[in-house]
Amino acid sequence: MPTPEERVKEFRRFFTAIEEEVGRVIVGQRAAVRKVLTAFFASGHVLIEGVPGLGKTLMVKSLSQALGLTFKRIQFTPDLMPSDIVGTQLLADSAGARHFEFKRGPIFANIVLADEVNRATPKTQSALLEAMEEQQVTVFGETHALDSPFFVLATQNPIEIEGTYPLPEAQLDRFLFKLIIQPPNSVELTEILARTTAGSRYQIRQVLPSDRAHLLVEELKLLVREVLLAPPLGMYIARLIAAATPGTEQGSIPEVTQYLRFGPGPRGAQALVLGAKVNALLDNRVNVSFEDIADVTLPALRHRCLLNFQAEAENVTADQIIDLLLKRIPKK
Amino acid sequence: MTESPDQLLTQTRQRLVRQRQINGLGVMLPIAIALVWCCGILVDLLALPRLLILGPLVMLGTWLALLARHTKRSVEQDLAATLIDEKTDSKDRFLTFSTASSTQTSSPLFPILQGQVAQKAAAFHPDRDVPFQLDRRVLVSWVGSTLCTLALIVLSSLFTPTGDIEASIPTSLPSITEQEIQKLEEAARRLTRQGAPPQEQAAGQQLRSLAEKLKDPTLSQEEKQQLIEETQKKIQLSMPQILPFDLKIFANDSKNDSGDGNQSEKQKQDGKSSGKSNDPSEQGKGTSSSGSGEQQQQQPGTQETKQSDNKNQPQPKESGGGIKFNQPQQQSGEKKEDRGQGPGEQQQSAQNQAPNSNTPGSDPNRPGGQDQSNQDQEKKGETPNPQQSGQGEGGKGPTSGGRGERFSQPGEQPGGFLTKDARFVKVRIPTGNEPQGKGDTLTDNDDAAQPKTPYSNAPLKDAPASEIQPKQPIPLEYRTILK
Repeated sequence: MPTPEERVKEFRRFFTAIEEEVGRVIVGQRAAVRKVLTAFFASGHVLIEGVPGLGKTLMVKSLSQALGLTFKRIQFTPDLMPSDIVGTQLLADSAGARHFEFKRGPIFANIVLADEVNRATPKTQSALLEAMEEQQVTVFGETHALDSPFFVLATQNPIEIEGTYPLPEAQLDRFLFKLIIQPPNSVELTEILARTTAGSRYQIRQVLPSDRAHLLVEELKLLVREVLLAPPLGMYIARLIAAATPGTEQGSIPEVTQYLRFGPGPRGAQALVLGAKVNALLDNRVNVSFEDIADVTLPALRHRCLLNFQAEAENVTADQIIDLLLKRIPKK
Repeated sequence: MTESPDQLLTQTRQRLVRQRQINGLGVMLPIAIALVWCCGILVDLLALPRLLILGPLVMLGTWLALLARHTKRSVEQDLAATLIDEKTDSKDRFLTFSTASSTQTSSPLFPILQGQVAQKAAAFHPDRDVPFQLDRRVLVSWVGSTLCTLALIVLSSLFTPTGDIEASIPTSLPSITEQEIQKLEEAARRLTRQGAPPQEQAAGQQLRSLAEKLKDPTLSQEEKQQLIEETQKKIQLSMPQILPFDLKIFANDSKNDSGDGNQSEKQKQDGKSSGKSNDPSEQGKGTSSSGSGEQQQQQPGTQETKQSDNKNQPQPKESGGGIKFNQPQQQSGEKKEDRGQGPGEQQQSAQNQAPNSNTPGSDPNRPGGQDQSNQDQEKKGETPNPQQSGQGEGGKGPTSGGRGERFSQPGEQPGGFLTKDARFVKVRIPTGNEPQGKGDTLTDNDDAAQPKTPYSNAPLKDAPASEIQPKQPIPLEYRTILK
């Protein structure tokens, strides 16, 4: 039985190793990779937004390979049906007797890549709701538990808006983080060219032991939740969330009332705490600090702050509002 | 010596509390001092009881006590922990350690936190890392309070509400000179002469004793003044007619009452004409000091003083009987003089109220003496022409024109009963017992009827408005024709 100190060290070791392994394939994007891993160990899901060709799919695939977990990829299209995701009942014939048998969909995997999730209809998108939140699916009245760990990584293209169905707020709220993949700079692009156009490609090495990868991931996730959060920091997070919610007179800032339609709910606060805890462990601490919270505030709240028409007309982004919140909300 | 994180937190918190209390006291103390000072200034300024200063003092004391208590409570453990975190770069470890709930302390990770905190605590020394810092507000408070107090002091000196009154109050009582005491003794000697009535004898005795007491160098001016007032009251009770005569020499406004009235009194007592005196003001005061209700007769005399520079103009002089016209032009000046001669005025009013008892004619106790001299002088004015009295007083011959001319309107005869534009006319009926003076023109008519009421003061009707208005001047081209 490892001691707490050993568990913390193990967490840091595995996390760093996975990060380095993914980094061998993905050039740059180290912050994005870290945030993806943070969300993974915080038992959350990630929505990645970026133009095509930035290595989103490759990053998720590399991550699953490094973790040694099962990986499925679903390409969302307008004609994609919910049953195509969660599975369906099929009439099976076995030993002369016919019966309905549940055919599991691609969502039954440890890591699911929902590529271009905004291209499917809302009906299909909603098929992910129950799976992401409750880690189970219900087909024909029968509930099927998903594999553990379960991690959804959805991508969406911000430039091809026509023929897309923006994710509803309820589904957006189920993503722990929303990451924005920035285009690589020239140095990174040169490195990408060198790696991808050469004869041999780097093969991802599995970091977690294959025999107990699932168990180890669950232990590390449990360790994350044991990290200490001081009450003053919890109050700070509450003030931050309340300030980002329009309509709350107490502690709000004028920009929130002016540019936001809806603010983050309790899931936003949970995302802040969980992400901060992972950061604390990575910093060899067992307590959350204000720095940890500030580090995850942007990816945790940006998709929960829904802009109004005025903000879109004035090109005000949610990130700008969150930056103002971090500056103006007192920590003590 | 490395201390435990708990001790470190306690020490740091105590230092912070002490620092805040000192800073709070440093901010509040100048405000309190300035407030009490300002209250003291206001209390002095408004003549309020000094106990009112205790009110702000009690309030300030209560406030400071509450502030100290609030400061002690406001500095909680997390503040000290945050300070230690900042100093040791602990990333909120001390904060988490100091505010951990019971649930968190039972966490398997809490021992790790304890170990990390203890490790960081070794690098923290409260004396070194939490130095005393004087709050900037302390300096602002001291400077502001000082400026406010100085401003209030300056403003209070500028806007003293009782400044005018204080300025009008003499700072010291007039000193009593030996000359004045001599005059007083002389007056006492006159009163105690042979044949004087008993009341005057008694008054003279009192004046004499007063003069002797005033010679005492050990007495202060206040005591002397008090003695004078007491003697004055005594004499007033016994002989109200002769007051305020000679004691007036000690009055505060010594400019106008420089003891001349005593001299005039002496002249009257000796049966001489007041015309021996060349000072018209003396004549008026001497007449006023006779205490026989001749206050209004004194007024022209005073006016003469003012008008003495203009010798070309005829001056009305009436120290004896006769008619006094109260002209509208002279009214204001006369009123001022009336205020200055308050006692005489009271005397006159008392006499008017009880004419049977106070009139010279009806008072058997005063056949001569003071009132007799007045009556002798009133003989000079037995004719209504005031020129005669003026003649006697001034020691000169009868002057043509005189008062009649002064009050004459174009077309009127001088010396007549000039009631035009007068508000009232005061007629004094001569008693016929007045002594003859130098240059007198009175007749020795001893059989003349003695009036019971020597004064008549009847108000006159106001002149019609049409008469008051100035006449339209005659155009120049018609003047020669009209001549």
